[in-house]
Amino acid sequence: MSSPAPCAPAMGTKIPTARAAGLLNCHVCGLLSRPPAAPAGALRCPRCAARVRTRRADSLVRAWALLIAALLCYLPANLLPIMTSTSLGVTQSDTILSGVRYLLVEGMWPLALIVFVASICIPVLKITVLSLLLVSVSMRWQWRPADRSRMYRIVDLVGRWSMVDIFVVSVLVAIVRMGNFAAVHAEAGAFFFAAVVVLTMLAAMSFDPRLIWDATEERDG
Amino acid sequence: MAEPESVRGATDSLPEAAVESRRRLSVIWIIPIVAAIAAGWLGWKTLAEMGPLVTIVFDSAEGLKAGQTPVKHKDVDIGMVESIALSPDLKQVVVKARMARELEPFLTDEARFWIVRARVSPGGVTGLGTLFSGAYIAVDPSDAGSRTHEFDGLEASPAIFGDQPGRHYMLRAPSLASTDIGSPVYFREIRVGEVVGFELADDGASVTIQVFIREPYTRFVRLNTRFWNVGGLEVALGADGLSVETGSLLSMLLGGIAFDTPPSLRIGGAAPQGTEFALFPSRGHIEDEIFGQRDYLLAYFDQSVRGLSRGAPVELLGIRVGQVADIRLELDAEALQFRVPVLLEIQPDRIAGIEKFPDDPAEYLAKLVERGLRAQLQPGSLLTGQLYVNLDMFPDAPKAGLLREGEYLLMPTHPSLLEEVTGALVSIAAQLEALPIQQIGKSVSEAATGFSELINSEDMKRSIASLAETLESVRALTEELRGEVAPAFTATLEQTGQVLENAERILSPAAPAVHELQRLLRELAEAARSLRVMADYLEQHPESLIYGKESQ
Repeated sequence: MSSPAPCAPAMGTKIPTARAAGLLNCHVCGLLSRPPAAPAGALRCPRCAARVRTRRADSLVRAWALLIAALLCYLPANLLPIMTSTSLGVTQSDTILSGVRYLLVEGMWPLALIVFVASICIPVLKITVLSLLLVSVSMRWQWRPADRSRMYRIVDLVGRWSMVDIFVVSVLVAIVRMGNFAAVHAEAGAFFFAAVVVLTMLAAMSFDPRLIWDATEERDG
Repeated sequence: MAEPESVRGATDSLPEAAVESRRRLSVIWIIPIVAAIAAGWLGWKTLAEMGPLVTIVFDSAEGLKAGQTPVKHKDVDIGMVESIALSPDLKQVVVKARMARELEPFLTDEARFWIVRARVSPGGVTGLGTLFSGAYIAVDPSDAGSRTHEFDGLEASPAIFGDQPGRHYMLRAPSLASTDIGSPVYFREIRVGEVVGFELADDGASVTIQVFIREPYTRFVRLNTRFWNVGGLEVALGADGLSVETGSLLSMLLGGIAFDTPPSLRIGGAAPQGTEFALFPSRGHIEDEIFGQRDYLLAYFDQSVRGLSRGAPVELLGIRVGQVADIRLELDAEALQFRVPVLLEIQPDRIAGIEKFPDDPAEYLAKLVERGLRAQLQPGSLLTGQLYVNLDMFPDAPKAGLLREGEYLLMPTHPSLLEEVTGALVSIAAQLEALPIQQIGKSVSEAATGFSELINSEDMKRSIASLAETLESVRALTEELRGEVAPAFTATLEQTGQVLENAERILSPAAPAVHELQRLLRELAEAARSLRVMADYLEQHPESLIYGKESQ
């Protein structure tokens, strides 16, 4: 984009895109290339030999599939305990929510806040935003494409941070191994939670944010 | 590509196959399908494994935490406490626990739940592990009884678990004494069971103690088995003297129950589960109490009952037939006389053959009283001065009938032996007192005076003088004899000498007569000795003249 104009171009302004010009943009090296007249088989970038497409392959379908998988994993991730800690013979199983409640009751509210944001808010936010984006693109909404793009960037950025819980559990399981005195075991909930995080990240990656703009271009075009 | 001309011509005329835009299902959908299968399987498993939710009511939830406290059986987790709440009246704690599904058939009204905590009792220290692990709820599942999901939690661990073979029996006792849950039950000092529970009777008059006897010892529990308390130390001072009774040192401190089947003419069969027995305060009591039926007799004593106490024996011909149930002091308002009503508890079953008589003792007692049956106080021990009540037949007693006072039969009394002796002494003294001693003294003194007068009288003096004269004439007579009689005497001697000479001839040792005589003399000597012995004996035992010589 050569113009120094704001990020959100004024409505109605015709912006030339690679797709509109019938060109291909390499996702890896950024080289603009021209597709052959009669394509037979997959196309590759003439410079870096990466596969080139106008848009990410099956972006919507993949994103939808991964998002639905994440949703399915989200229920057991929250209902099942993520870890069992044994301390002096006292065995305690905690789900994410009961851990937050425990921290809150014990007066460690900053910690409770962090866990709550990282483990509950962010996954919910990711799933909601991705669903919204996918629905909007599938329905070819033209509503606030710039805001939707910002949402996508946030989701992409924030995604990895929900792995905090998983990191804590894995570190504890590895370190706290003192038999009956203290031991931590990961439970099924942790695997489902990790699956939610990974699946939402993959869904966000599969989603091609350019699709948001395609709808506006089609209207304009 | 050399194809025959005919084939090419034919293919050209064929229609072209339509191109179908195939909508290939993306492989990516495998991910949500796998996720759905995993989550679905997990959900199904959770639901399928979700066992029954049971409600247990405890007095206190000390040490319990929702979501953390497990329910265990033989130290295996079989459930988890889900919630702890107060009962609506705030008096109890309602614990809801999710049990394993396999336990469902064992959750019956026979199953018991209790909280295992560290517990220090005289019998030992239990549940030490819970100091670290926290309390847990233990369950003793049972497949007997009807299914239920509502339970009342026990306060403490039951001493006996349901899967232990054995039998439960109920013991009725006036008080719990030193027994507690877990107190041992002994058979010949071997620990064969435990006290597993107790409860107060509805009327508060007794306590029912539940004991468990392990196999194979249940075969020693017969229908006529007696249980008694071996806890503590029993010291009793009774008519029999001082007695101290105790079991082993351990049971003295911990309390305990022992049982035995006394040899009896009445043989009992094996006691089935739940048989009720009486619990006796000590071994000494078991004999007393075999005889269940009790009749009460009232006896009025007019004398001091010092030394008679409650529980003092009532004996008939020296055999205990009952005991003193109560003693009071009463003032007879009409006669203004103190008297002591004593209530006698009689166990008629102690008297063999009495069962042939009608149940109402009044009927045969009346006949017995008519024939002289009386109650009497007797000293049981001179040392302690304890009294007992003796029932005996006194055919010579003044006639009396069997009366009834209130609900009790009135047993007439007979004065005691001591009383009889005292009475006799008193009557002797009275007779002595009645003797005319002064008069007798007077007569004696008169007699003495008469005697003195007799001696000093003139007649006496005269008699003495005449006596002297008489003696004088005797002396004169003797001198006269010396002069005239002596010569004649000499002649006689000469004749005698001749006679002796003849005799010597006859009596020579060679003569047969001498031999005869010697034998005679020996016999005489023996006879003389016998006489001496007899004389000596008679001197020592003069009564043998009358009664004869007593046999040695």
